[in-house]
Amino acid sequence: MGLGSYEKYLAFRKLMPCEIGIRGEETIFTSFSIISRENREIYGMVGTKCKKCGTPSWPVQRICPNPDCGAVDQMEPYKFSDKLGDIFTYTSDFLAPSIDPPASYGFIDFKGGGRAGLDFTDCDPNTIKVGMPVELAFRIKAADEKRAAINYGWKAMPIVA
Amino acid sequence: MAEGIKDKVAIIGMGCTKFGERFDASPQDLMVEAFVECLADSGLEKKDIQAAWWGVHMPDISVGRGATILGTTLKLPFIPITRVENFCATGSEALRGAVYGVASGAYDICLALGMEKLKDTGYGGLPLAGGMGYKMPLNSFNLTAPGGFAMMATKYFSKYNLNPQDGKMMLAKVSAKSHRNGALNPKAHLRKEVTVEQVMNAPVIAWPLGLFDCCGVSDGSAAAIVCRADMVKKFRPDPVFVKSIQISVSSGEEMLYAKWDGAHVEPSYRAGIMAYKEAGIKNPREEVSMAEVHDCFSITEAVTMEDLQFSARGKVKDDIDAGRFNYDGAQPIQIDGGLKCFGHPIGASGLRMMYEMYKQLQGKADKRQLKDPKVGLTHNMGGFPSMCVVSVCIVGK
Repeated sequence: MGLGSYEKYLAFRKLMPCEIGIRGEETIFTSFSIISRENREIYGMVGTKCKKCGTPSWPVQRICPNPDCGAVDQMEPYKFSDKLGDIFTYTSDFLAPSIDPPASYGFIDFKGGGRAGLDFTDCDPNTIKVGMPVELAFRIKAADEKRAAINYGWKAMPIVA
Repeated sequence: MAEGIKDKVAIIGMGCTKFGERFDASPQDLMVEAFVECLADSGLEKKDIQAAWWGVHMPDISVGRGATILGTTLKLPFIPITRVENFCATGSEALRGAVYGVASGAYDICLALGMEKLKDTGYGGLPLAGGMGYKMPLNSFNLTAPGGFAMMATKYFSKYNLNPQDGKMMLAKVSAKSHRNGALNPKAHLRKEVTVEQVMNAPVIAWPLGLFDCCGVSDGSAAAIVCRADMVKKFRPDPVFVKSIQISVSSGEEMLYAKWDGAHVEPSYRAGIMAYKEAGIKNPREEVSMAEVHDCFSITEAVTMEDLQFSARGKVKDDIDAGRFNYDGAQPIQIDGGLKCFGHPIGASGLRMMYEMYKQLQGKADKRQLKDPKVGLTHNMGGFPSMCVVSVCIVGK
């Protein structure tokens, strides 16, 4: 999907100042030790799958969330970034600070199991529906300018037939 | 075998400030305002209070952490004070601490006080301060409170085949009802009636929720003094007895195990079951005379009617359409105007709900007085439908 307007392009590239309200002023702090320790989860969207009952979970768990299982430390890494999913539910939010309002996000149920809350990208908020298929895309989440860090992560991209 | 706390503890005094944009008042002013009314109502003296529980959710923007601010503001004489925080159920958590303090036999008389000062941020919506840890921005999404609950509305509409127009109409009736009640309450923040059409046509905050589907954000404080039930007759002729006070917290099953339907709040349902069992209530729809529930958003109230078993699953719309929850209905809800009209100073809200139940049971609710209510319930929820804490407290004569 192309950009809606030249102004949006200018705002995305920070070539034009953008009013996002006092709520949007919170400083981003990037903890590099967290990224070092948990980079497979953060950048790889790798969760866990219980070897005992097969329940996949996002994010990483030590104890199986299946109430009938509850196995401890029986997890293997499980990659969500290459899985397709469906929109379980969603909203388009005008309160969330965003340079591209409304901020659309929702819960995704993955083929093969697992559920995650994700920002949406490359979609028209007016066309989003419950049950719509999505794939994941690796995108910029935020820029921590003070520490010269671009924070990347995975977003859900509705698949338009 | 645990026997529960039914009828072991009585509420003998309560206070509640005027809620609103209290730019006139400091956090300490609010705390003193609630405490002075509460103490006067109880007829006790400050020296009678043996321990206190203090609830504030976002102290980083008001009074700072710890328990000292309650002791030093109210000049409590070196008594034990515990500061509690449990998301938006913080006020109920403070009350739970005080009630358990008495029920345990450790104390005869305890104080619970909750306060939140939110409007000094200078913007709408809840403050962002108080963070969720350094990791959250790295693997989470752009979630706000209205957005988190809007997703439950989306799912509810989808699950029960309501088109957006009918779904929004159902929710608009919830808000219009609360505004009608709140208009009668001098302590409420928003004291204006609104029509269903106004609610439906208001600007969208987080689809499908519009401005009037969202509760206000306010400053306020509320307090309660509780004592041993067997000594209550010494203090007042019309005490209110605690029948149960329960809290249920998500196990993570909702998101991590992914069996949750997204159209209800599991801890609300579980806290209800635990509270009814403790209080000996078999049929909540018939036995609970009135309730103050956590209507942070219209959808929350609607779904809570089902979670607390006041309405059958998927059928709350029929009860809303029939006016069941109106002030003149069979089971009035938010008779004081609710979070919708009081706004939501987080640490105070659970105690504010109890203040209305207390006044109603004593027959002192002024223009809002219901005819001889027997059993009152408060439902105070913190977090998001997908992961939350829910307190349910039942009181009666």
